[in-house]
Amino acid sequence: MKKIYILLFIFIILFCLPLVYVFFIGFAKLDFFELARTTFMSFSLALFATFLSFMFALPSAFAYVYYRSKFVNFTILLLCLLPPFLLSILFSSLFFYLGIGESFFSLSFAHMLSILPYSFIFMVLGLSFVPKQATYFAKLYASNFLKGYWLFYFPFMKPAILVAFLLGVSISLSQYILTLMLAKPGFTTLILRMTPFVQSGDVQSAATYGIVFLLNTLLALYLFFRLKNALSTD
Amino acid sequence: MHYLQIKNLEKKFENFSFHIKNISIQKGCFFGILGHSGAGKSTLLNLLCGFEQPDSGDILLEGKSILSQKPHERGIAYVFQNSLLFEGLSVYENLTYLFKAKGLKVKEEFIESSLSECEVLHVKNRDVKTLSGGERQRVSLAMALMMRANFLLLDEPFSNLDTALKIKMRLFLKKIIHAHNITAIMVTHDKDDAFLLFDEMVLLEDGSILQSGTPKSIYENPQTLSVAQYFGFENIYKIKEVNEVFELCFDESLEGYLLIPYHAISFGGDLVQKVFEKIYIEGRYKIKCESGLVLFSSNDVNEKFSISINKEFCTFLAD
Repeated sequence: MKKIYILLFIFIILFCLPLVYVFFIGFAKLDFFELARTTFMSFSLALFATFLSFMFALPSAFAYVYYRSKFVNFTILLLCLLPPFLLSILFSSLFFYLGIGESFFSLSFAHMLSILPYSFIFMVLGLSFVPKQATYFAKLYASNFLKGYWLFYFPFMKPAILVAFLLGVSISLSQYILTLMLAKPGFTTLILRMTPFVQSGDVQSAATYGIVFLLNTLLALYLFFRLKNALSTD
Repeated sequence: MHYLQIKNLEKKFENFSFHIKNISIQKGCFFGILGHSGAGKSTLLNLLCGFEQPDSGDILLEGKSILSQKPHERGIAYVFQNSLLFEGLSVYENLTYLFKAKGLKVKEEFIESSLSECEVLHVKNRDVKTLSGGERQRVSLAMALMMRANFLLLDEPFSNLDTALKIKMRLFLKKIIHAHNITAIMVTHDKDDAFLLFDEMVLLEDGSILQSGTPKSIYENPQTLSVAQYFGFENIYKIKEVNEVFELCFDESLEGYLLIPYHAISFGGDLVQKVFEKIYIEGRYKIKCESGLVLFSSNDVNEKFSISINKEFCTFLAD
């Protein structure tokens, strides 16, 4: 056992030292407030886009599992099969026409379209975990649909929803082209800031952003575990 | 007036058509729905609960139609084959869950009394993970009783229990249902449930009623071949065959089958039978003769023996 701990310790040192080095050296060169602002923007965009995708994915999954018809199948498959990029551009054109083209909402909507197929798949998976008895109880005992969903569906779907959340945040964080094309001037995300550093050969700055990017994913993972405990129905 | 009435209920599916002409259930009656898989038992329950709407017909509760009511407005309690209890929560928390769902204030006295009635008050604070199969079903029943529902639906509640526990639970359920004067409708494919529990029952096949009545009346007077086969009757012959093999004189112009029940056969008589197969089961011999006739005897018999058949006990079965 002790050997394993020693090996683990050596591995951590070997892995962390360059990171710590890069982080502090790179960090000294960067504007802290800019980094913090970018991190905040990236993360709030990712969270909002994921939340938005759940709003669409959950009813779609319900329709797909419980009220399947040719129309439902066609619409859902179309949404899943069409490249999200194409759809985003399509919707963005609409948003531009409506005068909200460069808003936070339109960008979130574009990100949401990239996340939606995955969220939908996980929601369908989550619904497959709901036993028949729970669906019956929701209808027989719950005074309204939302209460029925929260008390009888959600406890069974929770693992799938949490994984969908983690995946959604990760996908949104790593969206480059969409954000570049649709974000209003001044709106920046970690991936947008990191890429020019990589292109210009400023490895230290790029690595620093990379580490912050990684920390964001870890933050999502932390939220995942917090939500796991907090979203309890008892 | 009947408590619950089902009138000309019709529902058509792609490959299945469901049509129930008339079912009337009195208040406090333990009503059974028997049938093989695909007979339409679940469809009937779904229509009663309001999960599906019929194409035509009506369901009346105390004379008033409940078809326009949503499932949660119908006042139905449901007990499943596999009870829905949330593991990780205590029995008490599971019971309060239903109050939360209904948006009602938790009524402690309802919880206490229903747990006590179902003899599971001692497990009130235990995690449901630690409950045995029988305890889980009792807790499910307590949940159903607690809701003070108009009627109780039970969907094969004993099918996952072992034989000894099943017998115990049947007696327990019957006691509870009659003590509370609850109107209960139970779906099962086990004919033992019918004899031990039901006051009245219907036998379903292909979405329609084959026969209805008390379990005793249906068993003693099966009207069709399907009903007789459902109850596992042997000795079913075409009328012409009976006349030829057993020298009985039935009207051969009748289309259908004849059931010779075991009690119609007695030892001693003119008909000589030869043993084809003899099995000792639970204190008696089940004898299958070369003629195909099956009978029971408390004593061992010789290779050849004679019998007589009392025509009066034979039952005509429609095709």
